[in-house]
Amino acid sequence: MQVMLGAGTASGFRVPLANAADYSGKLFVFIQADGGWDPTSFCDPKTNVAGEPIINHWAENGEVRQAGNIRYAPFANNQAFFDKYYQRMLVVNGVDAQTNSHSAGVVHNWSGRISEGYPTTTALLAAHNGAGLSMPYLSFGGFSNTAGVAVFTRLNNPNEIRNIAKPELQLGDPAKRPFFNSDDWKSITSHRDTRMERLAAAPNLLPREARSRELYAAALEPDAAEGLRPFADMIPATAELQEIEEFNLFRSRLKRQVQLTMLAFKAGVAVSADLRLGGFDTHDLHDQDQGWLLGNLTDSVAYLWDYAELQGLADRLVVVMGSDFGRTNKYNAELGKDHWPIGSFIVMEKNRTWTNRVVGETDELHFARKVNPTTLRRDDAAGTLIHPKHIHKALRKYLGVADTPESQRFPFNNTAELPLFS
Amino acid sequence: MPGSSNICRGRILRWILSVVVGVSASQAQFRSGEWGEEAPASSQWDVEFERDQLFESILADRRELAHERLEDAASTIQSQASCPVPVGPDQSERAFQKKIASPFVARFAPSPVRPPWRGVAPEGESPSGLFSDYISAPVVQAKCINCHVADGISGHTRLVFSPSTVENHETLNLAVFETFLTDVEGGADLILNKIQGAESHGGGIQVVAGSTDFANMERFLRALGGETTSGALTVDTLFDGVTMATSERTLRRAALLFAGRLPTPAEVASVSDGEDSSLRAAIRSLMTGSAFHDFLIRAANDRLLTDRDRTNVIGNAQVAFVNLTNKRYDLSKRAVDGGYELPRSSPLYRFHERAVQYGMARAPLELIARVVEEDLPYTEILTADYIMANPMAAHAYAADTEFEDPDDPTEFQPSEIAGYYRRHNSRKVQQDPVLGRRVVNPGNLSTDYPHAGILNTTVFLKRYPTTATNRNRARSRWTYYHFLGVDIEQSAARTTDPVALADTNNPTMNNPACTVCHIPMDPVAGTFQNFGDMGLYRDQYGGNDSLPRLYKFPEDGTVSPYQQGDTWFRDMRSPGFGAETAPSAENSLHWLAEQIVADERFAKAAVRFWWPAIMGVELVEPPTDSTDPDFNALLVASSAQAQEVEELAASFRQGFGDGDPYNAKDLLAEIALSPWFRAESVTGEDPAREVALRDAGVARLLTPEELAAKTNAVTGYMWGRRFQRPFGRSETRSKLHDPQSNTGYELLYGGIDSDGITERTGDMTPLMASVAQSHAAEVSCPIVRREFFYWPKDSRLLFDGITKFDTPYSESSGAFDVTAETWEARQTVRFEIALASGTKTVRLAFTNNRVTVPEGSTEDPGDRNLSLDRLEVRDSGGATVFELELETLGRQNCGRARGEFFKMSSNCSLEIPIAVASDGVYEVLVKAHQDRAGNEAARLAISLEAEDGSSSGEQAIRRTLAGLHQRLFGMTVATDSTDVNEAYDLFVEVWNRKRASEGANFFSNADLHCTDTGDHLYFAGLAGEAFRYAQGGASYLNQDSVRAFKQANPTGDPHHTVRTWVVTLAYLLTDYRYLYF
Repeated sequence: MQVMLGAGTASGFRVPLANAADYSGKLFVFIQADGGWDPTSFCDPKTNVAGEPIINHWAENGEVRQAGNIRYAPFANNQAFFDKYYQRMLVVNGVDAQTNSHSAGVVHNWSGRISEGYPTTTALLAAHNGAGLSMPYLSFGGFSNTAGVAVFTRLNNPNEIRNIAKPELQLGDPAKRPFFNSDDWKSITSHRDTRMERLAAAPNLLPREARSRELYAAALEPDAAEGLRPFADMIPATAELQEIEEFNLFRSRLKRQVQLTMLAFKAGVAVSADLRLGGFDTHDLHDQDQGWLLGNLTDSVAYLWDYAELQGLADRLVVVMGSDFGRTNKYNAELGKDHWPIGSFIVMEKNRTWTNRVVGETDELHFARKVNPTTLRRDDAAGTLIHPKHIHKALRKYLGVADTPESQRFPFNNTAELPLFS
Repeated sequence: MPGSSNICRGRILRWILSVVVGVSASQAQFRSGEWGEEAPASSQWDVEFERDQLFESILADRRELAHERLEDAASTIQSQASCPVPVGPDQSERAFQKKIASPFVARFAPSPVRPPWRGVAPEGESPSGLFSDYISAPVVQAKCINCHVADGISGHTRLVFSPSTVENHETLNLAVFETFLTDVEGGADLILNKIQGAESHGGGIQVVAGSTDFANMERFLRALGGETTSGALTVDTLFDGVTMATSERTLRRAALLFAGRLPTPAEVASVSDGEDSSLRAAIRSLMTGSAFHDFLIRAANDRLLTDRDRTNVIGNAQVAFVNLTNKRYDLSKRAVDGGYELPRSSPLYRFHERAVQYGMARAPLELIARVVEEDLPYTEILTADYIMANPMAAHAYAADTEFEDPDDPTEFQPSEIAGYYRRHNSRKVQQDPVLGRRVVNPGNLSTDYPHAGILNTTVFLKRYPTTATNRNRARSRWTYYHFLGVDIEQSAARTTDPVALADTNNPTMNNPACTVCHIPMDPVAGTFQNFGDMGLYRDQYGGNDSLPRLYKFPEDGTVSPYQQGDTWFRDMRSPGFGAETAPSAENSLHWLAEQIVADERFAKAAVRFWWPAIMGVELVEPPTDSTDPDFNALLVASSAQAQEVEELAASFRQGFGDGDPYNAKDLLAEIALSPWFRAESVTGEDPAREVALRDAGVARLLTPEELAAKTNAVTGYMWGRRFQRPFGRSETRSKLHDPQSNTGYELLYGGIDSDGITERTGDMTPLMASVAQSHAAEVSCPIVRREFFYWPKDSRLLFDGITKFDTPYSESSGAFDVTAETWEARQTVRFEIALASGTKTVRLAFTNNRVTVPEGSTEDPGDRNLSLDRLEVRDSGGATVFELELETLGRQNCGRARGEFFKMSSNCSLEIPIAVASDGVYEVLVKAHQDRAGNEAARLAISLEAEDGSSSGEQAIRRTLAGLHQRLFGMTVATDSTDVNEAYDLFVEVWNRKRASEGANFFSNADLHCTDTGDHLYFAGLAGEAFRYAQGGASYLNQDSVRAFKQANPTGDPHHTVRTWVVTLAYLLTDYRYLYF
């Protein structure tokens, strides 16, 4: 069988870990606030400047608050969120996405490179830590480019997962008459796997066919296929799933995404996930809409931590939050805010020395300032602006995937290594 | 910020240049001596050439005019925004100076009479000679100078050239190259990469790799001392060692793709000559019928994503469509009169609502489908002066469109919006808290609605909405993307100066960091001026415009530039396209449509639009970072595909072969003939080629819709097929695709919801594999059951050459009615068979113990039994070679000796071994009688079995397996092939287990589930009215009819073969080759 360099050889299932099902390392959640959140009403609070257009209406009467070392805006549900979790937070402000384009901003912030072609860090983590698992990389929409290093799984219809995780059973229910008895099903799967092995080893295949055969063979491997079964058993009944939350035209499934992700982690079938909450592109009625969205976002993250505690996963979690970019430092005529290339990231983890900390700086009008790449202090003369590539380079290193074969195919050359996690 | 204005100008010119480049590149296919068998007659060449000359001259004129206007317009904005004239040599002379050394044959390109061909520069020529003869005019002055000139968009770069108006420009420009190569490490490679569109070249693709210009540039740079590191893989060698799929396989793939079925034997025969022309014709002929329609709708929606709003295009609060508002009111009233407290929950109201929303939502997709299906010029998708509508939408539009079936919501006809009334004092609307709105008087502002194809269908406008600050820019962006192949957002994916973004002096007009995108984007946005955020025409009060109220009447104390009568923002660029200004506000969108279809990028955008539907992936974009390990390989791929697109687009514009210009069926067929679709295998190991061809060729995962359609085509069964009023049989819902919702497995299996999930995924995951396995597990049993028990033999699709008596050991078998009713009157059943010598088993089976009670009968039907007296086997001479009194068998699983005979009281079989001494024809005789019950005689099945591997049963099974491989996978395999051996091994394993452990009835075997309700057409044609509709509109199986049918059609499986086939079919349906194509 041909090996396709750069064409998705490392599918994530290629070389199963001997103990994949018993993976006990870190678990990764990346939350994409899709559309461009407003850091100035969140983790990089800006009050109004005399002589300048109003940046934030909340600043007309409110003041910037602080939880630990982290300053935040008195907006939405920020207070509850920051007060409760500041000790788990690293805030990186002044991240220059170098674009005001949604598509470029999304690509840049979640892959670390402004042009397409690089995988998300979520994918790299799945490829390294989740080989052999049923669905190591979960995606609920948004940007989840794998660049061939892994395959993501969409988990949008949890009810249906129950039905299909045990294909030989009617609706996955052992109490119903099955489509096949276990002997017949074993015959089907074992003979099919034998055949698939032969097909996957066929010579002279074109890259796509080689990759497709490899992926299908991997998807049928017992560990991967069987792994779905315990996960399916853990999926709550519909009535017990987190409800879809609505506000005007917005619908948030974020808590449900959190719930399913934690259960997949608990079942040992996944190690990383891209969660998504859309709607942040608030060109009008900014305060109203960002207020609800940021509130929903922080509430959902709070739920994530609570639910992770319940499932015994909280000590293993690393949570990263970000967005396409930020919003302008003024309102438009429709009380909205337009695109602004400067954004923020928040990285969360329990019991770390690098948390309760803010890195990066913006001025009073939310312009990014350069930082010294060693001290991370403001250095207008010789410093560097923080770009998404710095975040992802640091994340890769901290999370142990900087030197994996998959990561080395997608290097961040000529990029300073910021000590964000030291 | 230094350089920002230059960046700005680079982007502007990149946009403008794409027109120029595209024009010249479009001629790339015209090359001498490569027409071969596909060359048209010489007289036609002349005609085509004349047409091309005319085309070129028109484009050249238009370009000049556009440039003049652009200059004028730009000068009113700011100096940085002005773009240099796309000057260059006479386009009509240059048109054929490009020579593509392509691995592909230009399949339909006409052969022009060429002006003198200069070709590739000779070896050994001096740099100055090379530059003067081969680079200066065709490359520098024709392409580079448009940006790389002082004060040009790229005037800040290290390559700034002098225009031809400068006396010694060649000397000066040669020096620029020399200096560049001296100063820049790897400069030659950088130039070559940039001109191919790579490394974020602002001007995109200027010179296609493999072209004469490219070869000359490479030679020139080397002559200057530049080192080029082109790899062994080039556009020319990309497909070396790649074998293309046969015509038969390509036809099968095309049939599944375009027609949702397998090719007919006649179609297969038509391509047996292996000629592309035959294959092209066969593929072209597939493009008819509802499945092709579905393909078009699906593929178009994958791009436009308008199905997101399929159920909600026009809300109840909107009263501009007067007929719709009043229809809703009337239906509400009827519902209330009929006892509904909530009138909108009544079926009548809901059915109409679904139908009318569907009729409006599908307008753009149905327009595309109509244009393609009826061989109309593809340009009509934008220029159509009508809107597609179903009967309900047409009524809402107050159109007098005629329909074949006015009740069919899936019938679409060209229609018009005739009853649209804008907001005005004269409009009178009543509001009832229960019944909703009713338009008492529509008012004075009736509207002569200006149709513009897709562009102003309400759902397109709603899918790409506007806001007060977005000002139709999203609509402009997606118009560029879908219909011009330009992704404006990608062109902005560079450093954005935050200082510039802080600019409050109308930055989109004045700031170079913004104007780079806004110069091309905003005029097009302006052409959408008449349509508000919800896609409605001049929706503001008074009906004069769609301008936001706060723009016209700001509340923050600022002074609006708005003046009475304006229809567009005064602080934005005027509505237009490129440098041209829309002549009228009344129909600016239709004017835009005409501009777009006249733009040569429209044809290339069409290729880009349809490419993913066939290939499963987008076109490869030029790579941006030369440090990427796959850079060179991806550059080759993108260049090769760019060349393919150029060729396809050029032929599309002028017509493929003898075909009409802009015929989309021809384009689709031609894409399917592309090596990117047909590539099947490759020899040799070349990592670069493997990257470049990473998504090429066969083995694309079937989409959920395609898998559902394939199973239906192959087996006649669709997983979870349902119907829903008001659409009825015209629209199918299944577990793999539900057009009404996303509740099935569609998303889990890589499908899209046209909203948050807009890209299909073709990489199989364990979860997707579970979907595929669930599909196979559930459908295999009903499929097999129907084949063996319900369908007559000549209707079977999979098992027409085998019976349920054919086992791995069976030599032959037959079924006989036993009518004698007493031992005394016992009859002799005779069965003749050819046998080879060896040990055989005679199997005597009772197959219809179950008695069917006639519907309505209350009589006890009795108990049917079969009694066997004696078995005798005679040779051809009549001599007895074996005999056995069967009552001597005593007690067995399914019967026991009763005096003079052996009585069978349930479906089961006796197995009696016999020895056959020599090959020959033998006669098997069984004396038997029955206990009569019901209307049927007892049935005795006699089969001879041999376990030495040579039985006719084994051969029949192997033939059937080979046939299944052909039907399911399109593979021709021998009965002793590895594939058949593997499947046969499974069959034997399962069959042996079943005959040792399970009963002889298909349904009683281990209490397994075989669904009746999995496909509401399952019993169609068998059980009368197979399904009905519930009041809520959902179909349900007509159990009364089905029950009676099933009672009349017993499912004995005495030899356990049918159940074994169920297992085998499930195995085959999860085969990789079934799921990919």
